[in-house]
Amino acid sequence: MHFSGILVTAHRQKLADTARRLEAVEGVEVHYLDAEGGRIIAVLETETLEEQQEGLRCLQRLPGVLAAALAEHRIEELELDGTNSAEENKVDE
Amino acid sequence: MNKISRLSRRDFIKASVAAAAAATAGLPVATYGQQDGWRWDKGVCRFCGVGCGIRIATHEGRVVAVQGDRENPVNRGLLCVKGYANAQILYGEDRLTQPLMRMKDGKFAKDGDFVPVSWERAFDEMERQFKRVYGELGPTGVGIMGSGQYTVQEGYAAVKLLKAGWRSNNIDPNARHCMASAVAGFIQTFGIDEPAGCYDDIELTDTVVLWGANMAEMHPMLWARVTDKRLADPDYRVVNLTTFRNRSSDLADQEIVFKPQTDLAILNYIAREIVAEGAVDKEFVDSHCVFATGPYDIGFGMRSTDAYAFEGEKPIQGRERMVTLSREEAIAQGKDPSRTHRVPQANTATAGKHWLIGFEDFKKALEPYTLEFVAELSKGDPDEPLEEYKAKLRQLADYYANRERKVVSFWTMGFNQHTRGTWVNEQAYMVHLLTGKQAKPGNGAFSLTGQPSACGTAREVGTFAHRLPADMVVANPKHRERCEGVWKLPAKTLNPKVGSHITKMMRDLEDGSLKWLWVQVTNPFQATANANHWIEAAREKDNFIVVSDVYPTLSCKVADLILPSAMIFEKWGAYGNSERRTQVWREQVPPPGDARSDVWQILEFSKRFNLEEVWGRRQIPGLAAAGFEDGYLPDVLAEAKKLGYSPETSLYEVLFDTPASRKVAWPDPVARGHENHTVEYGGLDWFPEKALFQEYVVFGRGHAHDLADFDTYLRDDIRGLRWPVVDGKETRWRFNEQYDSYAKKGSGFDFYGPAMKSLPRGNLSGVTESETTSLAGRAKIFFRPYAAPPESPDEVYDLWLCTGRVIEHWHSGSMTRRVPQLHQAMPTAQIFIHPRDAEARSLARNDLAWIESRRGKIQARIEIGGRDRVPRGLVFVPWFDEGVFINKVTLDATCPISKQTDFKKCAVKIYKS
Amino acid sequence: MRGQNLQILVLVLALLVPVAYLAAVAASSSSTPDTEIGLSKVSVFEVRSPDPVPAAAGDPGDQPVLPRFFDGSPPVIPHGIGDFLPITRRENTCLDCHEPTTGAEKEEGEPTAIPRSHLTDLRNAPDTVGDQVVGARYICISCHVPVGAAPPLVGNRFGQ
Repeated sequence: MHFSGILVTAHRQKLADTARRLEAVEGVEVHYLDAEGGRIIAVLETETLEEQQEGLRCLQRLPGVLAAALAEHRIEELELDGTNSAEENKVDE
Repeated sequence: MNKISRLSRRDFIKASVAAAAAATAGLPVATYGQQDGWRWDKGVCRFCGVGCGIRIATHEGRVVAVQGDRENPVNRGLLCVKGYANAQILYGEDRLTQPLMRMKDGKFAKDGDFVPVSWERAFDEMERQFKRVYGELGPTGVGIMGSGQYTVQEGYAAVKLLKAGWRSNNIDPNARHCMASAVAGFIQTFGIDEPAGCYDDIELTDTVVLWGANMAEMHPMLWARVTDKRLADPDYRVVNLTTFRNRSSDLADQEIVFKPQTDLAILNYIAREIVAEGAVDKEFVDSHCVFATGPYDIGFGMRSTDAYAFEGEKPIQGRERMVTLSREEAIAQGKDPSRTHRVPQANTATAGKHWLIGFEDFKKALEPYTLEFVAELSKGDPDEPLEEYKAKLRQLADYYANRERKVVSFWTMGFNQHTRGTWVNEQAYMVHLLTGKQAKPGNGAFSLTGQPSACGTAREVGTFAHRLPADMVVANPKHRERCEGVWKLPAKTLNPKVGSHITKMMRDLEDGSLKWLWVQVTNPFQATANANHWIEAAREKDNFIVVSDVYPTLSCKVADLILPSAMIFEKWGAYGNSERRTQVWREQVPPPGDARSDVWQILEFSKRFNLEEVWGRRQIPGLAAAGFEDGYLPDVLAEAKKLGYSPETSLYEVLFDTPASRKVAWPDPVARGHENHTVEYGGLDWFPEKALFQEYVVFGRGHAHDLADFDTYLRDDIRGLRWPVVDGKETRWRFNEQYDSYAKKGSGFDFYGPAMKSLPRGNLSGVTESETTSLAGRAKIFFRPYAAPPESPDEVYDLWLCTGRVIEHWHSGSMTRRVPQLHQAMPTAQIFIHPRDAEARSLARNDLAWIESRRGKIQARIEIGGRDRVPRGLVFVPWFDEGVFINKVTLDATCPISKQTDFKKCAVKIYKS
Repeated sequence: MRGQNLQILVLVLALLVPVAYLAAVAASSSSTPDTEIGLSKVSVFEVRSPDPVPAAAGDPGDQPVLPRFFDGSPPVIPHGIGDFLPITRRENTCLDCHEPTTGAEKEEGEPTAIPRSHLTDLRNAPDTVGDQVVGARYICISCHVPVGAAPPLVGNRFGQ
């Protein structure tokens, strides 16, 4: 599976609306809203790289979206059992 | 691990991908669940003068997290080890939450133990004691010790109560120990306070020279900017001038370890080279500068009498009256070194006077400062070969002289805490002005401040014994008149006689000329040099000492009454940092228990005075000013009546609860739901912190100190603004016509500061023509000679002692020592000593040793190596640790002009316990 | 986060007993001498004999990664750092072991990888991730402190 962290820049006044539109796209989850900066972090989950590219283009065309750019990309096998912790891989400050 | 079991693996991956993306994009990274119900707001760091922007998270009335603010250009999302502790400092277990008074049998007793009392009872005693002392000694018998950590509003309220209400000028901040030499240097050189440049200079210059500023530890987030630039740019150069190797040396291209006090000689060597090499920017100097000098025989800011000195102190104290010049001093002052020169210190009271000289005189004065002479005099590491040291000095002079290089010189306490602190500040401007490397992007001499609002409050508001807001001074009749106008006071309410600076207030306590003291936002009994005198005066003499603080500090231990204060995020406030950036924050959480903001304390206490009690005829010993009866302030009650006040009107009504203040209503939409406990506990329907700010900004507007409106600073898109803010625009480089709207059009550069801009002419010996010349628009290039310090090592006290801070702890440690990780990283103050000096005293690492001076002795553990690698002959001891009370050992000599104490050099001996 | 706080809480509580006792004394409106308040429980006239500085924490890998004080607070260094200083322009020994994260999973006991946030230059290029630690974060010890063994002077209730 391809997990893509996407930085969306949106009109500040329409941030909430834009987030709802993003959520409506299949495979997209909104994780952060930066009200001051007019930015949204969404995660797109796709089977293939082609679908990822298509998904990104789709987001870029949504009303309210000024720009959508790939900020993080990770390929993960999900067939493994759920106990395989990725804790150490965590990205943080 | 909770998170893993709660979330599926898919969710976890998504969360971490989102977090990584957010981090990349510069979004604050708080994880999903934690943001629920958390409120984030912008704020400013509680600690040093850098003024880093932070974001504060609160939840259910508690601060739960802080982050570096990525939108803030000062620090771009990063914080230092202390900055990240901004949340933890509020929650030390022993926060003061109720007033504590020394009592016996239900009554106040100087020799009693601390008993919790109500605010009412606390203020009753404070008032009773105040009125007793005020009756006996008048306005000069009372005082306030303030702070460079005051919010703008607190400092402003304190100045107004003391100067306008009580008609005393005895208010002085701990910033006196921190910034006073910088201020005096600015005023004498430019006629106006605070730096021309800004932090952007770090990215714009190609040479950074540190003069007694260990930025790596004391200004870590500015150091991060220097580091970033140095690593990216192979031509960027960093030079560290210091008296011992420290963390700033680790990054530097060049380290110059010099002997304490000889920075004065090194700067004159640089100036001499600049002149000799023809590197003077003649056009800049001719158009924008003049040359000046002043008296050399100015003493060391000690008491004029030895009546209060310990027996052992008397030899050093005697140098306040008579100095026998060392051979080097004689050479440096252009005198015959083969003769003995005994110089009576005739100008101790007039140390700041100065006059114009010609360029030829200036050049002649620099003549003795040859490379040979200065290298011999100044080399600080006895183990360094002289030729290597000389090569470094030559290289340093070349950085300044080279027209192709931009240079920023930074300094902090190494220059400021110096018995010739004003001089050495002026010498830094000397080399920058000579080369035209001043007030330009990437070029400038830049005084860094130590405290978060030493600039914003102590200096700009003017919480000093001689100052009024916006660079005005009490001694100037026009300035007093202007203040009396804005404050709606009768003429001649304000006292024209300069009050006691902070060290003098300690001396006043000792000799009984000050008997009522209120300490706010500072810990002076730990922080003042030669502390044995002051703790004894506090405890043994007839006086009443009130300390407002958040934790029981050493000053609380000597106090008679302790008042519990609100901490930074428990109140509304504003700070101003080193680059003139003013930042305002909202109250985030309520203060604990009965703790109250300092603004509330000042307002409440002012209710206990009516005009009749303070505005009658008052004795002021030594007052002599035009229009005043010698030794007295006039009765202004009759004039007060004309302004609509009656003798019964309270100071609260006259000073704070004014019609203008009441128009600044609370609640206020700018609060966005944040509370105000000053309002709540004061039962107010107006917004005191905003009203005080809005009243204060009137002073600076139109006078090149313009601040924006209170609400502007709270806008989401603002992270502070650098004054002067004119037409909504901040100013990055002052005095430069391209950037500063106050600089006259067509001038190129306009050093428009108005103070001390009319001078007589003379030569190196003194004034020759008393008629004065106007220097409008010009800066002064001072010649200042090398002068030996009041005390140097000898056979008995054979080591230099230098004191200072460490990265982990803020000042006296009252906040940071209650933060577990900071305390663990630096649990106690050690004696940093050279391995051979330790060996000679049979001392090994972690041994207990005595460190003793003519003034006192304490014990500490030995450290060899580590972060501070001192040369033979010098030891360093940090002052944060009240258990290693190093200020019992230090000397309270000050710069005679700035009155700032030299904490960087005195003589000690060290031996095994 | 809860688990972390609990660990800190236990640590703090263990050392809090005398302080809690004092607080109780103060609250009960009996009197407290000045020698019993503050960080040094002695008279201001007394000269203390400070305790020896505890030995630095052990070698890297000896101790597990410590909990953070709050999310976003820089991790405390769980080992002594004396051998790895100074950090100079030419040499930063910390980076030799703590290489930036590659995304690969880490084995138990391996050094904590420097996170990707440290590869973004927030001042000059906030939207790009580089391949090395940015200059502004190069001096590790400006933000991270090493763990120590000194007992707290006073407890801290942050996070409780």
